[in-house]
Amino acid sequence: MKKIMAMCLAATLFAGSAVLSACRASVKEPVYESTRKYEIGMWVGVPEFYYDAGGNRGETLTDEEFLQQYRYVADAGITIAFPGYYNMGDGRTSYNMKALKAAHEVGIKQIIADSQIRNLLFGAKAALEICADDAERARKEAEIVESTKAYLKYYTDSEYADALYGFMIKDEPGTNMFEQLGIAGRIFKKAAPDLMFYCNLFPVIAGGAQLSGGSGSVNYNTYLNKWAQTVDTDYISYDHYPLYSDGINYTMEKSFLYNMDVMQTLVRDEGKGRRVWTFLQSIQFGAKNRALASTADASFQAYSYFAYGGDGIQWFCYCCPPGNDGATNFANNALMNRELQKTDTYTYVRNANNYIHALMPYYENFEWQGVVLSDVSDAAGNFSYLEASENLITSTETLKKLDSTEDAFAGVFKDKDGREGYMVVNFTDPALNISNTVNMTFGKASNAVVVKNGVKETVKVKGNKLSLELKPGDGAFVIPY
Amino acid sequence: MKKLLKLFSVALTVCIFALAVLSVTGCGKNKPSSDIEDLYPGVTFNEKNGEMYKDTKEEKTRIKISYSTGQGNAWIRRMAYDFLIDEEGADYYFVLDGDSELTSAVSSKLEAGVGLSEIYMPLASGWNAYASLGYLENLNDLYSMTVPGESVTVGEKIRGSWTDYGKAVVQGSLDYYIFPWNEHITGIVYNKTMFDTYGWAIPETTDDLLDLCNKIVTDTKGRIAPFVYPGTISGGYWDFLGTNWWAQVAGTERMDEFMKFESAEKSFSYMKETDLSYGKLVMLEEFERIIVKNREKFILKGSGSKTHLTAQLSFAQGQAAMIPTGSWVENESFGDMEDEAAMMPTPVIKNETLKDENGNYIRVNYSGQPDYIFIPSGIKEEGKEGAKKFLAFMCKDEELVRYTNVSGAPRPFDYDIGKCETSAFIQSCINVWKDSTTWFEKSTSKLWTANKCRKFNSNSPYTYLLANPDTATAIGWCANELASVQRSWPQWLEQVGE
Repeated sequence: MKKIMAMCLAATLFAGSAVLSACRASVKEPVYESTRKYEIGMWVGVPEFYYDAGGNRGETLTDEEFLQQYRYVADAGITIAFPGYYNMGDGRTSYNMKALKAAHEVGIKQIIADSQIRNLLFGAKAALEICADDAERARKEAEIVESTKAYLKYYTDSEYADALYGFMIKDEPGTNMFEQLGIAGRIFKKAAPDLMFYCNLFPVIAGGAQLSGGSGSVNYNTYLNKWAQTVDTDYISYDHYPLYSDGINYTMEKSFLYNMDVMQTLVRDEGKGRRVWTFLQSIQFGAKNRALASTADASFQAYSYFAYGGDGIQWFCYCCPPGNDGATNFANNALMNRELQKTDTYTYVRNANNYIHALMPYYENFEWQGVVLSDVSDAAGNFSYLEASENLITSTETLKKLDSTEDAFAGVFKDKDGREGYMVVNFTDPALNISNTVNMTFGKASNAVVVKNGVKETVKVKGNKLSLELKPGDGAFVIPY
Repeated sequence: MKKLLKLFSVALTVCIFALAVLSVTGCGKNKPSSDIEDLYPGVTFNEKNGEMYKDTKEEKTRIKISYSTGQGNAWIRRMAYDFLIDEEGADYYFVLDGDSELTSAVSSKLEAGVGLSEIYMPLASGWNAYASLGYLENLNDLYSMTVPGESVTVGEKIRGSWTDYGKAVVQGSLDYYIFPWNEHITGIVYNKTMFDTYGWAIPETTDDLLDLCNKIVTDTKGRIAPFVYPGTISGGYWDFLGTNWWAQVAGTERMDEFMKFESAEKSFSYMKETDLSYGKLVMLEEFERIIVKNREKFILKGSGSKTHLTAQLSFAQGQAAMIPTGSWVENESFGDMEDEAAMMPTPVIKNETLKDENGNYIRVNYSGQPDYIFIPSGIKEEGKEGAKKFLAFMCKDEELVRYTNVSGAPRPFDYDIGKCETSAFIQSCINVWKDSTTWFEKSTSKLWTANKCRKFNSNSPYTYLLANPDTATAIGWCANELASVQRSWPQWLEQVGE
């Protein structure tokens, strides 16, 4: 009898341990890896000389000072430097090579401007139009491609060529320039397929006349569709800034998310897999775009863009433009002030950039599917713009419900095996200092990887529910398993 | 065990009490307050969601109004209330949606095309593109509607530049697409209490203004700055002084001639008295003489980083005696101001040729580009009809008077402004308005509607002169502007297809 009991006990223990090990196998934490950094650019890079608020030129930076400034750029987590304010139209070879050398030495990439190359590309349309037939046009185009290569050779053959990312071509073109840019882009791609033909598009709040470039009015969808049909780049970039203040009250731009939504819809419908870049705000400018006052101001913008599946951000601005650029006033509080000293903004943006880079091992292994909203009050008004969006998801196979004490939303992602991940964002104006409890209800999950503000942890999911405490500006990437 | 039970019963009682309190306060949260009920007897108004209706909103047509909040909220609530208790409004209810960011948000709202309001009231901004994109309802029938209870049409009551400002060419036809909202009054607002205390006289001329500024510095030993201005805004509101001077020198007819932008040389030459930008040069030289050269002692330190609200706050706190601004400032910033403020007639540039046939100086009120109203085309027909009825109702004599009483702003319609009972500050603004010709920039030139050519080009002259006091001059700025416009002109023409 004792023997039988001992055998039964052994069998039970064996079966129990088998079940336990099977359970352990089913809740194994997913592992993701990526060494790639998120693409983080900027506007108004390191200048070759100091200038004051009136734009008056001061001393030229020594080579060591210039290089030190590039070390600051790299330390801020920026991966692609842009030209200085007075070099955005044309860096001339002296500035461009200096910038490439510095970028090379600190291990980042560089976008430069060269008016000779731009003029050659911009002239291509007219040169092709006067050709008699297709054969002559093809010969002419091949000729311009070779001329472009010859101009580019100075940079592409240099010892710092590994730092060269691309060329500044045009900021905020109207549709009246698209054809010219389309031809220029095609030629550039033939001459330098690995370099970026950099153009940045208008935001959704631009006026119809701005979008058309003056010849009549076009709406934003027409503007974007025409760009997509005419200019064959592997990315699309635009600028749209969300944080406002009149000095007393704080508000947010109502179409901040809507612009992201329109862009994602465009690239999804097009199906060419273009990357989407945007600009985020890091300087006080104009009558209402406010200065950053905390890391939360920076991370809020970046996390929101992450949640909308964005591929690259650019900070507007890194250095300060002069006090007035002809249309807009600029304060002296970008990441670097006009004396080229770090400001508080530098710390805020660097922190946010570090948070973003820390997400890359996960983010890089997932594909964006859409967004889930938790509309509590829509105090910012952003969610109302998304009513008709095709990117809205109410629930998924894994995420049954998202609710929160304040406005929040989550980007929904899937990895190659169909596992879901979510970028959850406290979507309240960071200036209002609102904390947010976000509750996620899953179909089935016992644990979750949560990456928040640069820190990864594994948390237990009780009763298929996960509760996240998100402070102002917080976002968390969540992978339930 | 008894102790435990007792503790449990106490806790339960506390919970029930707390729930009861919560339920009472919670229920009360959305109810209209008694103050609101007193203000709008006979209708239900929910301040939180902006809904206002008489009896019920069931089976009634919604009129949702999205409006910029610079004039506060009281005026629109009052207009809506008056409409609802009138038989005109029997079939409607309102949703009043105040939005401080409406002006910049409206283009993307129209673009998105979802959740549109029946009426939009943004501040001055480029609206021609909205019309040409088909976003705006044709308002010809509103302009030709008879004002309820009166014998004139809405269009017949509109005065000044607004008689044709609301027209745009859409698909080859010239029609009305926007409707007049406010007419602003701009110039120098001063601290009247301070002026009375120190015995400072209102300056008649720009020479007097210079003397006054020096006197303010002397009398207050530099404690009070003559001026504060919002430096974060391009131009720093100095244009509310500058264009008043320019229009005084040029006259409104020549200002309109300038705005035709027929050629770079015709509009932007400045050397001869007959040149259309000559008045601009004279104005900038006055600005340079009075403000730029004396900026250290005449301007409050830190003005360069002030927004319009923080600059107005500094003025309201008595840190400066004067501020270039407009009639809206009382609603925006004078809530807690202890001193009395008033608007002075813009000091004139002393010159015998600038007098009219009666020997009086020509006075102009530069109102800035005007705030306007439109109805989006993408809403239901019954909503459009209600919106038009309401806008026509707002044109009744008593409603126009009431509007000015409550908002503090005149509207560009024929009505007896003398009947208005406004604050002393608004009365001072209205006095300036009555004694001058109102002008604002408007043009049918494609270069202007396409945002290529502006009143000032290349940069704001005020900001530029203040930022470069040792190197820049008024005449240099005008020369640079002319050269820059001449360079850009052929490209602009090409871009707009001319």
